[in-house]
Amino acid sequence: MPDNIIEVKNVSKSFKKYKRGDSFFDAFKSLFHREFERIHALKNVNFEIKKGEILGYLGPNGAGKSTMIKLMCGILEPDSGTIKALNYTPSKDREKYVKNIGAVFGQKSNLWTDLPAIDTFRLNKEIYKISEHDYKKRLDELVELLDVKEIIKSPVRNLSFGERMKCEFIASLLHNPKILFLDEPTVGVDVVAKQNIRNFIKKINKEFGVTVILTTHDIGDVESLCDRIIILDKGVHVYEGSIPLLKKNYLSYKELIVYFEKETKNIELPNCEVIESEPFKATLRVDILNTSISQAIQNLMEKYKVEDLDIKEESIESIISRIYKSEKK
Amino acid sequence: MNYFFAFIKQSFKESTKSRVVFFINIFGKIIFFIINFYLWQAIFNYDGRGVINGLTMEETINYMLFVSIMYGLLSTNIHRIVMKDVKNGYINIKLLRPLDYGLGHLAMALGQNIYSFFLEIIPSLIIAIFFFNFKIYGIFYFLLSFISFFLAIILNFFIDLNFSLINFKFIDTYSAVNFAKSVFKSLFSGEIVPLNFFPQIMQQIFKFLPTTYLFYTPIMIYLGKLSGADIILSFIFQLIFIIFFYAIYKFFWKMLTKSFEGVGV
Amino acid sequence: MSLFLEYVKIKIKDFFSYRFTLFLFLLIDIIYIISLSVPFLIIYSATEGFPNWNIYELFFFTTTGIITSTLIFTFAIVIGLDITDKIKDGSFDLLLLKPVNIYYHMLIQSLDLRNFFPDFPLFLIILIILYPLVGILFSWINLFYFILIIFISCLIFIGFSGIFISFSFFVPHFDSFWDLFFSFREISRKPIDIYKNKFIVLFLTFVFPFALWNYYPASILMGKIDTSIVPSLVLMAIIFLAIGFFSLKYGLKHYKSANG
Repeated sequence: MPDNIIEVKNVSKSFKKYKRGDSFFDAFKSLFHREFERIHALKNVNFEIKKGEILGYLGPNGAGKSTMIKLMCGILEPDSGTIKALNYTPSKDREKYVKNIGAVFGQKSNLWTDLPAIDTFRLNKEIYKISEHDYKKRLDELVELLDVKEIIKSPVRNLSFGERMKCEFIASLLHNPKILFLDEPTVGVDVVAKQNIRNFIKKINKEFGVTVILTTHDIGDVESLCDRIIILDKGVHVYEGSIPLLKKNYLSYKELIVYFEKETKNIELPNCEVIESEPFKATLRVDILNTSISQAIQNLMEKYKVEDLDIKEESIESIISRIYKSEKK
Repeated sequence: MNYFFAFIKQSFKESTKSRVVFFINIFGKIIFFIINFYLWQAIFNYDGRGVINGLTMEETINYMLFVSIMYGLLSTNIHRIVMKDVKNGYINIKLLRPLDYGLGHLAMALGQNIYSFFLEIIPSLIIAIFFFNFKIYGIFYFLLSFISFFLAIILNFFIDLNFSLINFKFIDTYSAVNFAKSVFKSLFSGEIVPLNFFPQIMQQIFKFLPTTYLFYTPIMIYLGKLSGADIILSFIFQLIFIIFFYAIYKFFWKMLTKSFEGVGV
Repeated sequence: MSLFLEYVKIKIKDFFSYRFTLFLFLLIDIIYIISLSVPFLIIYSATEGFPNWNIYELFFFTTTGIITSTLIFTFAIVIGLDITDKIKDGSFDLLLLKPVNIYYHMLIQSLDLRNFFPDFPLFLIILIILYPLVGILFSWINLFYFILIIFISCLIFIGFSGIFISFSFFVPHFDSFWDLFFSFREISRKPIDIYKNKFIVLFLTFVFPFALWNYYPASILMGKIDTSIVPSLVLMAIIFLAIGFFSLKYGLKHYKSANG
């Protein structure tokens, strides 16, 4: 399958975690005997990533997202199963493989804080053995795209978080990677900078053909960027597919906002639940598993005098949180 | 005050270290015992006199063994904590705590010390007694010396804290100042060489230096070299110095927080 | 090689990004000399001192110690310390993301040459001034052995650092061990022959090699001991390096990145 840039097969990863008590006696006891439990961060995970897509990798804290990203980057080795990325096995052919990937980890900085970002870029040029010509061209392009001409010349410690993030992006894209891993790239960034970063990710995906794999807690990132999402909970994939598909499969209700011609009370319709009711306005939740929205509107029109109406879908955020919750039960 | 004890407890829990570190610490203590034991034996044997400046060989060796045992309690890493707080901007969070910045860190240090007392000091004390003839000159003196050490820990903490505050103004000069302080402290507290070996004139000055009360006086109490009145006087001196350094800290702290603008947010 | 140079460049820039740094380093050096010499002065003023060593010889011993420990620090200890820190806070991940041999990269990215600037020339000058005062006959052979032994001790402590680093892959609070390690420097500051105990001498030479930090280089330069020990030290360096390398390899395999 030449399309697949990354193939993950039956990957499991677990960590040892020592249990430890609070009391003084426990502290003493732990010197001689300690109990541990195995935390299964990932259990038999399978998936593929296609060339040129933007994949959103979502899940609650501690679901194993970061572990998966680290496995795909070659930082960690899986306990069992195989990972193939760009025809390499990341943990085995690490040196050759990482030449082709870039990574931005929101928490960890690649940049030297006391120096201007440009110095880090020059260092990366040496690390990735980029030729002078390619380096200049690439840097100019990226600086242009992110509009950071002045910023890269002042010490990183004086930059705002959003500016710093932009520099991180440049540092991880200089060597023209085929895959870009982003671990919470917009965390702690203000709305305007967030929008800039999103546009930038879209652009590098479209123009440079970089495959992007992204973990985030920001649902806005997902909606505006991702072609496909994978939802992970407790080391198991609970959903895999596109956002429209997610809506189709998991959407259980739609909301109807109805404006009446005259004062209307005690609305009653089959398969509809009244959430809010005002004299001239009401919000109804239509259970679309048992009825269609058109049927509900028809029923409504027959019974009441309606002036105007709005249809609202459930937000992705609430769908995802519902999926998390249902898994936990 | 409740917060204070909560902090102590929290820090005690946190300092539960792994057993590798525990055994390495014990190993380190044993090496220091051996080194001090043979070093001072060699010096006394070569010198030929039985008593040098009022200390016999046995007393000097026990002095140095006691320094090795207690060493961990009288070293803080407050300067590193303050530097991290300032550089990373954690200070803003810590300022929101209901407990004074310095007292909060004192509580943390004490919590760690309680941990090391049981898991470093007592095991190494037992080893010293059984394998290095560490002698207890009188259980009463021995207990009094621990009270003195307890005060010394607090005094030491406030000295270090004051020097750490330099970080706020001069992030770049901190290392030199801190290094100078630690050298001065280790020389004039009797940590490397008992203060008895210093020239007579300096010994008079030492009485009025706070560093003397870190290692030298507690150990002199343990050796039974101080009279009852001297012991009480030394406690009073320790308390005065603690109050003095605490007051300085309070003064600096007020000045600093007024002029402080968050760094690195 | 160009990567190495780029690292050196960036470190120097980083070094001068704060004011007064050079001046401060000089100041620290002066305090350092005081801290090392005063205890000897005190002991020599109150007692007969150490057998076999007069005070000038001890000063010479101390000064060579500063030079050798600068080298050992720069090429071994600081690197180990830096890497353990990185493993603890998880930024070691970033090192693994670079297409450079990991052992080589650990070495050059943590190499901190700034210790060299004020220290090395300063103490070399002091050493040259002390030389006639102590009354040692200069010989090229001894100088050669001096340099050789420093080289050997660097290798040994690189191996040592490797062992420590691999420990920190498994033990979460291992960084506190470095504090202890630094306090062991006190051992290296006294000539080990004063202990008059064969077991201690062997222990500090072959197992816990702090005598290599200072005692062997200085004594050989001063012609106090003969050179028959050198071959066994070379063998030891090879053994330590091998242990360090293999434990690192083992540790890297079991690396579990922080907050994973």
